[in-house]
Amino acid sequence: MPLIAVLGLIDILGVMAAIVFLVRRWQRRHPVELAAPAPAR
Amino acid sequence: MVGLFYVAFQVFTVDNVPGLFFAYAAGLVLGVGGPLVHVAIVQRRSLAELGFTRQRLPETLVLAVVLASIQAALTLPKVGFGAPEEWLPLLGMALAVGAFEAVFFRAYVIAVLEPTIGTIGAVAASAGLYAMYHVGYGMTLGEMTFLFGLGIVYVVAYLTVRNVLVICPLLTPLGGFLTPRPPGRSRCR
Repeated sequence: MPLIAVLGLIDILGVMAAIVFLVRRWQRRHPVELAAPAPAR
Repeated sequence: MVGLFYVAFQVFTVDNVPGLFFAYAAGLVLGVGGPLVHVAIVQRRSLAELGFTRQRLPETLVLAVVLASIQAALTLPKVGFGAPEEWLPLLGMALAVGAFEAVFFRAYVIAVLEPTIGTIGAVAASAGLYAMYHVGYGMTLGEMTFLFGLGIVYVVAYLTVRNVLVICPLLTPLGGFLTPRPPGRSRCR
């Protein structure tokens, strides 16, 4: 039972790390486009 | 999220371990995933604004070790370390809860509220929400008042370097050993 508890909680940490990884990858693939400079008058 | 914790500890309790575990795990994962998705994908802001950054790393690590040493000196002597099966689950839970609390109550609350209500307001909100969420663990008003003060300490530590590594995985998980509780009630803060 304690081993299962430890594995389960390590599992939670793994899911958290996976979320961070996926969000980082999403940001790399969808870079924020810089606003176009205002046209010169 | 608080509802999931409440269901885990007050409805399922240790009489229904699978139910307790899944409700609790869902709350923790939602507490980390929600802020990351909201800030990074919805608001299109950098994860550095949630403290996920290598900036100020040396000072962050030094401060993390110093603060964790103080925390350990306060908490660990009171913990009766017996067989590993007694404290290993607690350690695992402390790490998972510490990660959730660092991301949600410090990084996320500061990232979202500081631009609108200022640093002091965001600090108060962070500590207040941190104290109130413990209602899910069945804590009393007195305990939550203490946690409000503790929440201020943690969020100020975070703001000093704005890097989550300063509070997790050392400082807040060690705080989980502050008040050992009987099984069925979380011992993590």
